[in-house]
Amino acid sequence: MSRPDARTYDIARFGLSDMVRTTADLRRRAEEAPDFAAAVESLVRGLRDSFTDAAGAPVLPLVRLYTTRDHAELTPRQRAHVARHHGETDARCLVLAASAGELPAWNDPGTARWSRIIPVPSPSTLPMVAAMASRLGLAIDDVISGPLPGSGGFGVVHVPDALGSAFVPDQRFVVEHGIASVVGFGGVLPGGTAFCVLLFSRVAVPAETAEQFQAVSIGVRVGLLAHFRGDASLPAERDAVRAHLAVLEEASRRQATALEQAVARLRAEADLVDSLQVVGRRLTAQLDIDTLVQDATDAATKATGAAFGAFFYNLVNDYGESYTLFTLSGVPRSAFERFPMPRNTGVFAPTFKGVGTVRSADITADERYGHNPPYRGMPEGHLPVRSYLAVPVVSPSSGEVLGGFFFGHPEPGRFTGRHEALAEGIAGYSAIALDNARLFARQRTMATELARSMLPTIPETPGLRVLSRYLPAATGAEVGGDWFDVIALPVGRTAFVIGDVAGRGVAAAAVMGQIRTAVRSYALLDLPPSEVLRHASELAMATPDADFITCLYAVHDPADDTLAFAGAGHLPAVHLTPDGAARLIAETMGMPLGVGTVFTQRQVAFPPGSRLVLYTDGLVETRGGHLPDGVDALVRGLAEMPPDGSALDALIADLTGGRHEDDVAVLHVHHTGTHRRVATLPLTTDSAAAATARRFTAEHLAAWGLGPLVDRAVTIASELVTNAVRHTGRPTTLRLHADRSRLAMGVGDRDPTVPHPIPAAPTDEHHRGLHIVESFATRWGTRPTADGKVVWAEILLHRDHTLDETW
Amino acid sequence: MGDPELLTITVDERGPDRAAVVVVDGQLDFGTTPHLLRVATPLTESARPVVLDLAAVSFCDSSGLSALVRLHKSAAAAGGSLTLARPRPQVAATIAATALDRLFTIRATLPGDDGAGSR
Repeated sequence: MSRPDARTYDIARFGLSDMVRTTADLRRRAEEAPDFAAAVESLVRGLRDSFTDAAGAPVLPLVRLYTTRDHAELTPRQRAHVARHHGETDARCLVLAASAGELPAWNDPGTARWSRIIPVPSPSTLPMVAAMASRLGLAIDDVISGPLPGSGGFGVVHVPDALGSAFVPDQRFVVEHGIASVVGFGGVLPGGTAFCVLLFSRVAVPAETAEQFQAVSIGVRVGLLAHFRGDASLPAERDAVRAHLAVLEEASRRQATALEQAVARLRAEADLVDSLQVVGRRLTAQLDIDTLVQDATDAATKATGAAFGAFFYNLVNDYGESYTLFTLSGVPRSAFERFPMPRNTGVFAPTFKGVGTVRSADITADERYGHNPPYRGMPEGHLPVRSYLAVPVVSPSSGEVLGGFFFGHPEPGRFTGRHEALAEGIAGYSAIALDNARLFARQRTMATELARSMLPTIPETPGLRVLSRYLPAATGAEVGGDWFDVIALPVGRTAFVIGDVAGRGVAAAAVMGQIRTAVRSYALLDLPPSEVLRHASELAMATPDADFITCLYAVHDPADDTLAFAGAGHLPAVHLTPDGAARLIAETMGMPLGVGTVFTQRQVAFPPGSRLVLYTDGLVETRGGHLPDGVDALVRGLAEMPPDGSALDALIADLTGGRHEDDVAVLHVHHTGTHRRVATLPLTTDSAAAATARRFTAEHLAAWGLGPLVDRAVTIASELVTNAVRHTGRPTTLRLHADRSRLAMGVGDRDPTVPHPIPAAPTDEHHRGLHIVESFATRWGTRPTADGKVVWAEILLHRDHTLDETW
Repeated sequence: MGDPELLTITVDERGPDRAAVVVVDGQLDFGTTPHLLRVATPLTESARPVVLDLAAVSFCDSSGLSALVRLHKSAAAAGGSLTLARPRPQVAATIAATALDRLFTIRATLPGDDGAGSR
């Protein structure tokens, strides 16, 4: 006996193709068997092996096949059994022809069950068989004694719940072996022999599966017909095939209809997913909130078939205050202008609180409707709404309710589950998109804020006209790491800084902020340029992410009109002399901050009319990408443009073409030479030195129109000169420097020792000089020089001090 | 030492209550204070009341203050006294800036002058 098909089937999901395959398999099994007995044996085994549960485990503990026998065909033993149990009868009897069960005993023809021969029908003992007989269209008399017609009829009896069913009398068997369902099917063979198959299943067999056994029954019958030779078998076979075809046609028709419905349903699902995806893609790519919310409202209103839709959404302004806006679709804005914003009424609350979707066939009939004053329902003049659908929009990142979609239609019952699914889908995408847009806006605002806060306030620098430009990169929203700074140092000196932190974004900006502050701090300590950069570089080495920072630091000293500078891997500065000649300075002077440890310092003359231009690479690297070309173009452009810097913007635009991919920072310094007074007195060590310094100070202040400051200034000058003479013995010069905002005095000496004020007891005879300076000056300090130090003091000027009208 | 152009000192020994009035005219700094100390120290060490008339002192810096503190201490040690009289604003400001107004006895008038020379 061959096994043409070892396939198994999940009995709970027994489909059309399964049925066709099983039928063919069973038919072949029966046909290929050598005789009827072998055929039925093969059938029950085949059936038992074919069916599994969803996990693939066998599901039929027992399959049995019964056939009818005329009383005359019974063996003497069988006849004796009938007589013993049913009295003297010559009724047709049911005989167990084959059994395939889990327990070997069930399959052993020697057991009692095999000899239990039942007259047909005997509802008390085999009610299923009785029921099936009636399904076969057989009259009870036919079954008992008459010739069975062999019409090819067939039938299926399905007992979905075996437990407690009257059709299954052996309830002990049901309980012990966990039988869930029983399926029986059978037919009539030529010569009046009927067969009947019973399948006991541990898994509930659904009605759809049971129905398929009509065809299985025909297949079994056709297979068994092969063992009935003779005149009667041919028409019977024809009938059987015809019947099989009819069943298949009917089953196919049914399945095709179901299939078409399923396809239509799936297509609708796919459409829904498709349209959601299209909307979702569009929404989530949108970073502009206004466009986004309008798009979402339009899409959702269209998708739900609403007469109109609205999207109320919450935003937070720069002051952290929350406010609500709305968009509309399907109606002009004027339709709602007269009404206040919706509040947390019974109808709206579930949406605004993010509880869930509200879908109502008729909202005016909803129990939540109409309880809230003042309107108790829709206000007068509101568009009529019966069908109502509202979906909250909840942030996937914070869980915060961002807003809600509301859809209305004047007719009831317009919104279906599909509309609800679409609206929820669009709400979901809207939430993501709104989240994105809000995060993007926050990031952009932060970056802009950061960049703006980093831009220094250019201090008023008398005698110097300073122009600064900071152009964020033309592309992208990220802030860069460029910076510049102008720092007013003591005694009228001014520091100019330009720098660039490698990288972009908030991280680069944060590093830039730290380094900028460090440079500023070291500058205010009045350290020489080389020292400022050395300290900043050491700090950068200890700062995470501050790996590569270029910087150029230059200090203008009005006392001798010099420019001292040091560079840390930055592009050279452009220095223009009063006659307009331009050259590069500070070229390759030191390694970048965070890398270099030694920085050299140089000095050039910087008389009135001179110019200094500091810049970052964004200014010169855009053109063709070749840096030296850009620098050359900058130098030429600066030499040709008027010294007042009025054409600076035009030059920047010309150099970058407005397409700079990096930030551009530019400082343009023009020494105008006005508004300054400087006087220098070489110092001696004789006893008249302080008096000479006082006289010099008083005379110059009087000449400069600063008479009211004379008392304070000469006291300070006297103290500083006294200290230089008495404590160092090597004073150099007293320098007076006045501009519109300050009077500065500096006394140089050749002793690097830095003076400190020492607290003086009342009876102390010394240590009062610096206290007096501190009292009389606005600020004072010391600055190391190449061969010693300068102790300086400043008095800030008020407007009424500037008596000289030429200032 | 001392520059006569910068500092002139006149002593009037016939002040009230045996007081010696030292009239200082000029500027007090590290160049001129030795002159003041040379003239005034013997007076303060004599335990007599000494009045320094500062009305003509146009300038005094910390060196001048240092000399004044020294004179004050020598007067106190000898059991005498030192009074600073009629300091000009610059001098008064310097004294105030160093909190020495708490140490010195400062008068706006000369003894027996009764406010005539008030500042």
